[in-house]
Amino acid sequence: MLNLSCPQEQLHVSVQTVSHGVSGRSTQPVQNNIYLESTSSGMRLVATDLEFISLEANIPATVRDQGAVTVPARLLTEVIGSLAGEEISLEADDHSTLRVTTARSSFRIRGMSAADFEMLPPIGDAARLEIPQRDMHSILSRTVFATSRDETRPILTGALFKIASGGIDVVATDTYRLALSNLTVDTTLEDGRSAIISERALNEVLRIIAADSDEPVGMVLSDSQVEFQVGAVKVGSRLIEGQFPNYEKVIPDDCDRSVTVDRAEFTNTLRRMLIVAREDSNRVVLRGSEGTLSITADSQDVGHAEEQIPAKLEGPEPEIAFNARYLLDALGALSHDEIVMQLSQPLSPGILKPADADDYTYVIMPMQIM
Amino acid sequence: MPHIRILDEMMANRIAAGEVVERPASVVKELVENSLDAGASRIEVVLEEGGAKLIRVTDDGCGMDAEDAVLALQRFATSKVAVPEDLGQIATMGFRGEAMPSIASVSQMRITTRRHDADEGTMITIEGGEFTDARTVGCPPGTTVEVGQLFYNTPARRKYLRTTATERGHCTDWIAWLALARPDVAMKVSHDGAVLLASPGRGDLRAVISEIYGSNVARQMLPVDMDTGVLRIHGLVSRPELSRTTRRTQVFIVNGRYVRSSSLGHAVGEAYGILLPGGRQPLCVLHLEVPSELVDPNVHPTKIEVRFRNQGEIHNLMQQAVEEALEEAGLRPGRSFERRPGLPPEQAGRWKGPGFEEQTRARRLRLNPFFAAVDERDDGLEVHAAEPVIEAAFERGSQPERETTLVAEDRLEALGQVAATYIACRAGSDLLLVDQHRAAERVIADQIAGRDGGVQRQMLVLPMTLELTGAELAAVEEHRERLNEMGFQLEPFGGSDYICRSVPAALVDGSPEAALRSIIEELAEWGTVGNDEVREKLVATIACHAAIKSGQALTDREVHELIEALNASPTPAICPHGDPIIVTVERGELDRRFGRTPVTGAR
Repeated sequence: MLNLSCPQEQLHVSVQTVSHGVSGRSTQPVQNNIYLESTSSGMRLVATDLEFISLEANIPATVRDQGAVTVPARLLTEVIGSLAGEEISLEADDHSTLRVTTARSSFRIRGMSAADFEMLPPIGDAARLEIPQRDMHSILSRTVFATSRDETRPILTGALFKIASGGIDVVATDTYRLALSNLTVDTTLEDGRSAIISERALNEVLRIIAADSDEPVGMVLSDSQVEFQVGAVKVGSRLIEGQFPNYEKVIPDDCDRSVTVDRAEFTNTLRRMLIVAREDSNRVVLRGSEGTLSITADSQDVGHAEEQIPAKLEGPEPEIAFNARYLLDALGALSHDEIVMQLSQPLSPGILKPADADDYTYVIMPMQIM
Repeated sequence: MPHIRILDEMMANRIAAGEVVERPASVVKELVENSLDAGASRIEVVLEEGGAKLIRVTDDGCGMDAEDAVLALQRFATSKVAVPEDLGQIATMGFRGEAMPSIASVSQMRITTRRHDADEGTMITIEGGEFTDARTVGCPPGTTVEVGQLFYNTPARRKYLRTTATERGHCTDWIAWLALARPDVAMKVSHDGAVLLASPGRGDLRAVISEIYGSNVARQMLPVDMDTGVLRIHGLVSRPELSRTTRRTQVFIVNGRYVRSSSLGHAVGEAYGILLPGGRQPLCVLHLEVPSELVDPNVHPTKIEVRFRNQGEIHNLMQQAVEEALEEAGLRPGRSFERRPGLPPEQAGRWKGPGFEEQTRARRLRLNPFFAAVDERDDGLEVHAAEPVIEAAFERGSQPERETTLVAEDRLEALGQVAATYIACRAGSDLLLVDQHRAAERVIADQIAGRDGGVQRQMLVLPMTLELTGAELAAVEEHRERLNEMGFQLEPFGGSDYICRSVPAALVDGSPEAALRSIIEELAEWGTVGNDEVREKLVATIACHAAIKSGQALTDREVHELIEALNASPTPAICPHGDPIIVTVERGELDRRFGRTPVTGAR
């Protein structure tokens, strides 16, 4: 029978982290619970939808007896969160009821038998690499937002990891734009590997890693599963099966004009334009001329908005319409001072990238009025 | 009988070419139509093995002499069209002249015919299009055409025939439609010796319906008869208790010809409105008599689709005709109060609440440019309009508040979401429930349809590849332009594949591929339909896919935004598919339910 005690703060953080693994949509009620186990060394918490997300945390605890139980995730999170700053004792009984006690309080949470709780199979024969958290954060934060929400095209709901000996490409597309981030790193992998990883798992990784940390993220990849290890937390997922589209083919190489602008200025302008544009599919028109980029938005019902910002223009004067939200997504993921847009014809794809770096390419498709 | 002439090449080209003979049913249709054109009063059809083995059509029509009979079998021989001008006034059915030679070329055919004024008849035998025998015979007046072993010389076509039961079903469908189109002609059909259908030919439509759908159905049909002087709509529609899930049992006959028209079906559905639960369709057999210059049936070789010069007007008149029939039967609230002449305008036209009836009417007024010209007899909202051309008033926006949007006291005020599906609202002292999905569909459809300069489209990084079935391919080829206008840029990609390079911007947060696939499937299923209808359907389908779903929890802000947008819609009560958006529980109803005596002053 599970019987242990541990500090509230650490337990609360772990319960909160792991509860993201509960989809709430599982047809087996027990999968909507958090699995708690007391092991010889401490406590293990697991939640999984058995498909695209599995979260596991291990924390130290004073273990009095070994055992496991499952309890509703939200209830447990609330209860633990309400018991500020105390040593908490957890004790399960034969009927899968969990007693949560502190010096003053006592809760009894009705749970379900741990025997019925399923987990992803242990990750088998696998390749392993380590990447600093800041690098992982950078490649994920610039790409994962471009994954598709359209569940009728499952492959695009994940990002492609293409790992070679000299580096990693991460690619995501929802067919309206495509984000490609490249990290040069010695992966110590002799033969390359590709995997399509669910947006759900990647967003969890993004949530728990730090943008400015040199601590490593472990990435373990088998033929059917992936596991990210961040400190005491593991994020697992089944890989999405299928063939990711050939992304190299869609990156245009015939852009004959470019516009370089200040990222912050462009971002703020687009946000203002969006007030009008959002009433009409977020459409903004970009026109470059004589050292300025003019950005306009028109909406039949709302009105008109227009703004000019200084720009460095090269080649013929560009004119093209984009979904402002797609531009803002990429601008928000970058931290560079200047960005460059490489464009050609009004109906041809454009590229947005940092002005002074080659590790990020964002292909964005224009809009057209019929 | 008018003399048969060979169409010159120009004429032949002007008539859309295409395959006429698809299956035994198409032969039955062509032969029976020929018999009707020959002035028959009795037609007998004998089928064997679903028509694949034998189709024999015997009539007591005018018959042909030997010369005409031979001419009838030459390609593009037709006695009905001589010069291009005539195409404007096609009044008979089988004007194309393609049918007989086409049928003869894929079967073993024998024609036995005698003119009423001739002493002897002619028998001609043709095999696979070759004349094998022609002789003089003794026979009764009229014509018998026997078509044996259909597709015997085109094994590929024969292979595509379905089971005997299926083919027989298609044949009887056609004869049923033709019998409903011509209640004055007695028709009898038998299959492998068993009589399947026998219409009495007394000119009594109800009797034909009784024969086809059963006496129980026939008893529950209500008469429709509306005559505008230019156009007449008459026939029978079912009481609301009698409904089906499909529109298959809706039969429309335009100038004596069976047609398919989802526009007319829609009009009938609109007339029933909330009398029928969602998804249920009334039965009907409705004849339209319109001047032939308003109809262009020369659209497809099988001539099932009609195109009206002013589709919208016909739609509205059809709806009105059925509404009147329902009102006559006391099934639909009449508008006697509003119709009373001499009422001050502000009372006559003012809405009593954002109810279904009034908005349906407002929509009709708004959509129908011919309304003022054709409809002066019925109508509450119209009484107050002194100007003859109501549409002009709308165009100028001189009375927009009253007519096309909810008046201030009838604006919906959102109270909250119910069951993640409905939004409870208040308007004046009434309680209203709004279907959130349908409301969102309406708002999006208004945006798409009302946008000046066309639909916004989003180009795709990766074009979608679509593998299409035969029917889908045909539908995409036919409607590619309309799909393009709505934002789906489609291009052939070899074989039966197409690629799609852009999608409507309204769909980017949804599943545009799923939407496109369902649109193509629907187009394939509808067969040939008019462009306006396709456009309307596309808007409805796109709106449906882009709209919030039933079961989706909304924030208070989203609820309010949706209701505000609905308040701004010209037709807030009807979703693009024609279903009601709002259910009203009036104050009086609440009082009744609580057993409260109506408070003085409450309506």
